[in-house]
Amino acid sequence: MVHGGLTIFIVEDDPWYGEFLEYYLGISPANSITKFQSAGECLDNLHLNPDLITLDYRLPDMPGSLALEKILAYNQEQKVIIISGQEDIKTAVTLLKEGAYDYIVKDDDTKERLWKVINNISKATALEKENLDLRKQLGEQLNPSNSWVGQGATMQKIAGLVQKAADTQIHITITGETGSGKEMVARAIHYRSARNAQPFVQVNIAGIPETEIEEVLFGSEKQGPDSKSPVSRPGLLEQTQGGTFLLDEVCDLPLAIQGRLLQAIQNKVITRVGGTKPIPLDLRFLFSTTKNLEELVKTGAYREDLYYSMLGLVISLPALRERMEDLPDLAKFFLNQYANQNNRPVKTLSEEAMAKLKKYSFPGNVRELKAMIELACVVSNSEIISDRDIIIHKVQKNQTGFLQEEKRLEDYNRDIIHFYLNKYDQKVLVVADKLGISKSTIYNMLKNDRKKAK
Amino acid sequence: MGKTVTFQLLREVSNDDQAFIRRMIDTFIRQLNEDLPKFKEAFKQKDIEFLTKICHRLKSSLNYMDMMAERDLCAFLVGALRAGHFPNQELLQFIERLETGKLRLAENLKQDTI
Repeated sequence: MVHGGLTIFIVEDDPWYGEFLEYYLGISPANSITKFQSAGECLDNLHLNPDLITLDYRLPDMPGSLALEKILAYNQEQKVIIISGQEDIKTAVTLLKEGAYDYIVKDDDTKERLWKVINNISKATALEKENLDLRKQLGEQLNPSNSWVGQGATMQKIAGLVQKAADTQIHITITGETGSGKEMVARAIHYRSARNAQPFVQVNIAGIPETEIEEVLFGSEKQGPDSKSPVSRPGLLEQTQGGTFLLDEVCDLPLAIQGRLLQAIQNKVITRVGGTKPIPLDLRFLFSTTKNLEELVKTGAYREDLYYSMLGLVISLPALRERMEDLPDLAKFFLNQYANQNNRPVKTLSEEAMAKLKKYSFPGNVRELKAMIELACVVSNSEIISDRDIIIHKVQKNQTGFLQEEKRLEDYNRDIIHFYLNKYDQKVLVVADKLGISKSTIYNMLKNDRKKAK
Repeated sequence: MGKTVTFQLLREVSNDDQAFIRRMIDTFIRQLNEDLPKFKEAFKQKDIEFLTKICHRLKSSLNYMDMMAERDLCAFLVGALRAGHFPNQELLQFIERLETGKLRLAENLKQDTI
């Protein structure tokens, strides 16, 4: 059998036929087979979770129908093939209705029939296992301890918030600069929540033409070309039923549509564009933004009622330059990831290369670091990446992200000081010297920060 | 006892695996050694339920043992017994044929004519 082995229970009171089945199903050496002579023995071993059970319809301790009922009561998904000594269409139909996977008669064709069924089960089981493995891998990747690396206090705090967010149904707003990992946080919340078996749908508002946003989100009901039957198109919100909906860059949502979104959040009901029928929604909203929504509310670009309605728990992701203590771990993580994904040996960074990275401000945040490490792995000709392999593509904006948003001078000063403190291992004297300010200025700022945090 | 037995079905299933075929014949003989005395006793006691059970069980293996006449008789017995009849003559005939068949199979094994 080409699709990998199955764990099979043979329940057969006829020793001869049991041995025959064991030989036949064991032709594929990957299959693992256990024989039982009674239904009771089989029921006692269901905890071993076989992929398949072949069940003789006439067993000494109970009828096949009762054995089937008990097996399916233990595991509704269990595949059970009933093997009967005689063809009885009525019984076969009843058993299939009750959940048997197939009904096979002991005759000359048994082996072909059995082989086909087992091959189908084997394919389906392989797919199910693959699917399960992928889900497991995804879950592992989105586990905060695996996916976003960083032992720094900030990221540990965020990992805690993600778990809290996953455990509740509260609305979540994720803020942070581009590339800081907002989508990853959103996915982690989804995959760790009770909705994880349902869809995770994400839409970036900035990527949709303004005239189409409403239909993309809410769907549409339009008259068809024959003017008789309407053409219905469900929107993304409907497609998320049961799952989690991430509205990325919610800050770019046009005012005209903000009202409809507010209704959807508050009433959990929508109507399609051009439609009248209310459609109930069962989904969880997550929002992400790179802009300060509070500021947008002040300028009138964002509805205040929507702002308060969606606020919930706010998870603010720091820029990479604000958590440079995580840089070595992150770099190592991406080096390993590149090696694994490309089947290459793991490379390491030379001291000079690490120093070069530490001096950089990463306006593109973790996403930029990842791209930089991957490029370095490609261009480097040795197992140790040198500083020459670290290529910085300078975007002619401003490297530290300054002046990308309006801030008070005091806040800019704070950003500068934090940047230097992170860069120089929190050594206040060194930073004071580098910036040409007194150490008391730095201590006062940190003191004020602590007060504000309280 | 001179009947040629080909074990065609078992050969097909096992791709002519001699060891498997011999093992299955041996298992069948051992099973008959256990079942036949019980079957005779059940016949004496007119225990229809037990006779039905044994006949039903033997049906599929008789097929693979190349005992087609016995299989057909067995199928008839299962139907008759389930209908509440006690086909005295056919049951005796069945017992006799099983005894003969068992000896023939044992001879096949002994003479290595498989």
